[in-house]
Amino acid sequence: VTAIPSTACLLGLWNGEPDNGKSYIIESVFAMRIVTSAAFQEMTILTNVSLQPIPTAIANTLTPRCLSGNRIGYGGNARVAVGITLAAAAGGVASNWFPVGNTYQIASGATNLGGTREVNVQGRYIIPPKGQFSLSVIAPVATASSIVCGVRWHEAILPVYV
Amino acid sequence: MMAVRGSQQPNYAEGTDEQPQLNTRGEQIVAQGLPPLAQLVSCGNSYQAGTTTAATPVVAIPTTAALIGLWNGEQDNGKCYVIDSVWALVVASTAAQQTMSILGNISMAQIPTAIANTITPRPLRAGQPYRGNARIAVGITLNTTDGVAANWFPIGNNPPQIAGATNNIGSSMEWDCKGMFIIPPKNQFSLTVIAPAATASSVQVGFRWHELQLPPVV
Repeated sequence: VTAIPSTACLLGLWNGEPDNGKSYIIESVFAMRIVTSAAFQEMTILTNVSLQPIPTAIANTLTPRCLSGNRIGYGGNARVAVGITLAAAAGGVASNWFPVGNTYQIASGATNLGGTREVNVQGRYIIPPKGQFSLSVIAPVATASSIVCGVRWHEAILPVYV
Repeated sequence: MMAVRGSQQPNYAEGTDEQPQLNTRGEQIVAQGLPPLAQLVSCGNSYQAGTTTAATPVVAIPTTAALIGLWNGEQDNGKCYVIDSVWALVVASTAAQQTMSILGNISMAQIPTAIANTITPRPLRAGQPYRGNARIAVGITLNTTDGVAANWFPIGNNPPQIAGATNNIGSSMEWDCKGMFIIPPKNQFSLTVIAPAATASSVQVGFRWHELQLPPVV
């Protein structure tokens, strides 16, 4: 996007655990250019933490991959989908999108394919059951099909403090 | 009594009682379980907020003018605000190849009068409504004790300039303060952004914080 969005997310991670189930602890987020866009271009990852439980699951179009090797398949209850719409009441408003991390540098070059950003957020975002963590990327030019972005997380039972 | 562990790591069964362990150099073995901020944020008192409309950076260290302020409205022995991180984002293109820095201002004495309450804190734990006593406002004026150039300090490293850029939307900086700033009750943390050109409506700035009961300040 070229402006802070509202309801449109590039990627969403929805926690489908039962109410007292595991929380998702966000470890890091990343974005990478896979097609060159306008040269010398910046980008920043935007994050959105849902404001209330979202009872309806999002689509289940991406299969989580394990950070520990030798493990095929995913046994959890997350749903991950791309190009989703986040309801305004759940946080799909401009004021609920926040940048994370620092801009990367392109000193020169006519192509920026392979430019990446990764931010280790160290558990700063917690997604309890039925919560959702969403990502977008802001850049000067909306070059089509130019960016992939993603998230790494841990699934763990956490104390429920009220 | 602690057990010495060599090259073989244990694989304990759940629910068994086991000894803490030392390595062969006599150092106690301790491993981080979850990411560092996970337990703190899971307590549900961690929030973020920022300007909701684009603001204009300053071109000189300011005095009383702040782009955003976080005022602690707790009672005198109440929670302190532990500043986690600050950030700034360019949302409208400024002069090309422009850098920027975040400036922070910490109040030096209690400010008894609350600032306006125009920005709602957003949770770092999903689904957590704001339940604290913070007040956040944009475009505020500091008192003349705190609002002096000598009480503004840069925070973090500026984002790298991109040589040749003609548009810098999406340029951002974030600084992990790790609790470097503490805002006790009735005190205030304020931010602004300094840049080479005061391009109107070009930046947004904000912070993340944890609300915690800390030992009283004497």
